[in-house]
Amino acid sequence: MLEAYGTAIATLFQPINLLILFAAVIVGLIVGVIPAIGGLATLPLILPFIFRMPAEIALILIVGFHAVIFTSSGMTSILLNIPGTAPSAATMVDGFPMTQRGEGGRAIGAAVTSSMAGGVLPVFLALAMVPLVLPLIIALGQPEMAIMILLGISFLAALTGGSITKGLMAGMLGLLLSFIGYHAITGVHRFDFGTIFLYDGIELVPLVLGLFGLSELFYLIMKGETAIAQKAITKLSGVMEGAKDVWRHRWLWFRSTIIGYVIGIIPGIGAEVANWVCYGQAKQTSKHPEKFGHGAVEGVIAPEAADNAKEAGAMLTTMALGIPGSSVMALFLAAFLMVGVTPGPAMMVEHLPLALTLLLGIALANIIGGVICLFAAPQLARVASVHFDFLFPVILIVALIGVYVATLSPMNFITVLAFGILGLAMKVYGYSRPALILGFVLGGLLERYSLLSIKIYGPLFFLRPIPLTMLIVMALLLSYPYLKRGISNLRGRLSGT
Amino acid sequence: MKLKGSFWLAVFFLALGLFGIIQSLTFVYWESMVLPLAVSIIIFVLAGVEVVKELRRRGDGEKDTAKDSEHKVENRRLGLILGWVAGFCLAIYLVGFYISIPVFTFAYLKWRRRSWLVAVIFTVVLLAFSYAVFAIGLKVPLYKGLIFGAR
Amino acid sequence: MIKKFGIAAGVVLLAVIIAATGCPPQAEPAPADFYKGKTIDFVVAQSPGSAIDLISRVVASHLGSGTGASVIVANREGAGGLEGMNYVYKAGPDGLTMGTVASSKFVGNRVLNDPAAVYEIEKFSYIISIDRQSYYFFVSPEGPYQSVVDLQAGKDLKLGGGSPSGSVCLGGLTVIKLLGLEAEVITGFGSESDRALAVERGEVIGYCLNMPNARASVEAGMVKPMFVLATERDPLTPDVPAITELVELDVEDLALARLWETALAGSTLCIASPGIAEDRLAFLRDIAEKLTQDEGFRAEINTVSGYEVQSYVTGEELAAAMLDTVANLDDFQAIFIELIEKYRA
Repeated sequence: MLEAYGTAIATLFQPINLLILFAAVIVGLIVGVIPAIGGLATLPLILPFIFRMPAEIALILIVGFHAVIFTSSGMTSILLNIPGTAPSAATMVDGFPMTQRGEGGRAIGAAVTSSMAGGVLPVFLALAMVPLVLPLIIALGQPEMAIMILLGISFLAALTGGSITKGLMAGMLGLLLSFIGYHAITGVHRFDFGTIFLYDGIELVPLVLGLFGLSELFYLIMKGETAIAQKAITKLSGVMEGAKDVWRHRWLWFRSTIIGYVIGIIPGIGAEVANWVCYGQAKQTSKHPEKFGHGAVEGVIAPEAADNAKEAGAMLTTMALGIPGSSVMALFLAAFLMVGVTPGPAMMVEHLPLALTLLLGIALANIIGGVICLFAAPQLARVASVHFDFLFPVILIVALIGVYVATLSPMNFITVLAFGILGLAMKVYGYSRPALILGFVLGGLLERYSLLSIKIYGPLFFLRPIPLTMLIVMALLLSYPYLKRGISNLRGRLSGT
Repeated sequence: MKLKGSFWLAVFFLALGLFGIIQSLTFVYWESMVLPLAVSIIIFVLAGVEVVKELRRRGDGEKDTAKDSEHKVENRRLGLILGWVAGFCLAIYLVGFYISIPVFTFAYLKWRRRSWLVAVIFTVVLLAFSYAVFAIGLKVPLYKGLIFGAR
Repeated sequence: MIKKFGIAAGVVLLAVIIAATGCPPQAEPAPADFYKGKTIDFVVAQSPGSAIDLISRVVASHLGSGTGASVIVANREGAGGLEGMNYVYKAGPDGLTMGTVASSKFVGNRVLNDPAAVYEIEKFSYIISIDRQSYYFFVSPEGPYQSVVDLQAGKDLKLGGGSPSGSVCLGGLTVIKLLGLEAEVITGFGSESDRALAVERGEVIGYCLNMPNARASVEAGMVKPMFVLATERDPLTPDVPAITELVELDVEDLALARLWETALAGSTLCIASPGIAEDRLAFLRDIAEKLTQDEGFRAEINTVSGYEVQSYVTGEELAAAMLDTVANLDDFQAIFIELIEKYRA
């Protein structure tokens, strides 16, 4: 094993490999910053070139490129309220209000540090996790997945904001929107009016861009604001304050990294789930949940940690088991196969040094990317004080291009506009947009896993040992704050105060 | 008193819930019906509660003329910006990105009373950036517009 | 001043319009000259990273070299690939829009008359078909069902399926019918890895799929092929028996099995929009024909496929084969609709 590590380090630090990694990191950072465009749109462009390359170089190129997309994507979310990638939308909820307060640099510092560290830690967990990954995935069948998704949905309660009725309505609307389109289990077309545009339902990218990006823009312009922030902190010290925030909230960061990592390991759960679930648990466990949505740095740290950690988890499952958990990982799998390396249990034995090289490459890419972002952040934070006369066309153009490139359908401009108007109304009248998104990303999954569980195990599937245990743990977790308060009140009464 | 936007948003949710219930009942298989129906009913009930709350609130409070005129200004700003966005989207749909981007950018900056020089330079830079990044860098085909043969 | 400017602009515009309409029509350039410097819109009706996507990108790059055109590849995998198929179908007949589709889905939509499919198979312009992938029935290597006898003895068996109109589901239904199993197909599994994991857990006993898409799961040891859904063994897997070797089929069932080695066999079809000029189509087919003899092209196709691809069908032969496929499909529509109603969970 030590020998394999030695070989891996020597390989990674060969000048040509380092150069490739560095170049890949730069391109990956740029792709991450461009809104709505992520690995899925850009990796296919690289694939045709790699099968003429030696396996090592090709794979270092791809992992280096992909590892940092989620590090830089948080910056667009924070500064412009437009997600760099669909999952990084969760960062906008508190990142953008921080920018509006002039703390965009600090928010970026927190996001980048959290993301960078969230991408590095799992790499060192990876080897320990390899023997556990397959048993974990096998243990999580349809019933277990259904209960896990239900746990995710329970975080809706934490995201409801001031009014529980309005918050639940928003969450339920998200669920309803997730049911639009062709139903994969029965073949029934639901709420799509027979159009091919809605055949696959509403796409996440235009939904998020409209609901958060455009609606905030409309709101600020409606209120007569001339820029996102009147004064932005543009010193490195401000950015480093954000990095220190991650240390201050290190347990939150650690918890979010682990949750994101585990969600990434499990195939079949979408990339966006990790970010929103971690955001929800961050708010639920916070001592000041009322600050969330108004610029709480924990609301930036949690989803960003999960953002990168989930990719590391998904990469582990792809490499160690040959099971791609997402469309992007399917591309990775294709890349591996194209260069003659077959991912799977055999890879971790026959190509262990290569696997270690790639894992260490991910860690190094994250560090390089993170450092670049931290030094670039003070300059990038200036964008918050650019006048809307200039920023508005830029944001709108980049957002609409992003929507088109992500979906290849101009009809989605209607989606963006419609959700922009809805998002504005929801913001003004106190309906929780994060709750809507959480319902949307989890609704389809909840339905699929519940129905599959019923078909395979019958309607009482949740009484199976693992799902039942998960349900009991979930009930305890959800009732913990109330139980704690109840016990505290009881103690107070008993002691006569 | 006039009905507020919050009332109409609650009515929107109520209508959505009702629509969901009616549509869900037409789905052929129980598997495709059960969750949409349950969720629609929940939305309908909660929205009903909100509508009632809003109607009760309607009678409370005095007319605030200062706030009303502030709202009028805000609504005007909103109407204008929505018009710009909708117009831009329609332009892209008809003539594509590479014509709409410069026309929209220039027109918007001029409407905002920026100087000719600033408007032209900014427009050219933005168009060049879009072309360089997407057409040359990422090689992604941007929409050409209905008039120029896109589907 | 503005009025004069306006009048001048109007006169110029009118002059341009008259000149444009008055010009004699230009002769159509030869195909080789036509494609030089043009942009070909190449649509892949499958998701990025899929087996067909990788093949398509190899085809697209060689097509670019062969025509002198710049080829822009875009994935339009929405609605199970229907979006891409409809897109190519509705494109103009200028020969600048092409694409690749998975033949089983392409034909399957027609079999089940998917209302969202606006295309008619017989009207497309066919350029090349790459590979011919049989469908196999995959089971767990260590599970309780290792033979057809085991399957036929089983009760309440569950097979994995994707969407109800997809080839995985239709394949599963076919296996149930041909073997007379007491089984049902559970639809809704989102991806190949979902199905393979479900087999690993024992939630389903197996599923039907073509080998390229199941390759990763086979190599990971999660599933193995029990038989091929065809009347003959596939050269790719000479040790895996055909279903007809394991069970006696009547005439109707034999025709159904044959459908899976003809119309529903998986291949990557490269198509262009209907109505292309004959000479342009001939030019494209000629390029495709030359590619099938090019060692470099074949080597790249083999690399992305993971095995040596044997079957290439080009030009008129392909077009005739597709017409032949369409001629018999209606007969099978009724059978599949009945099977879906009976055996889908």
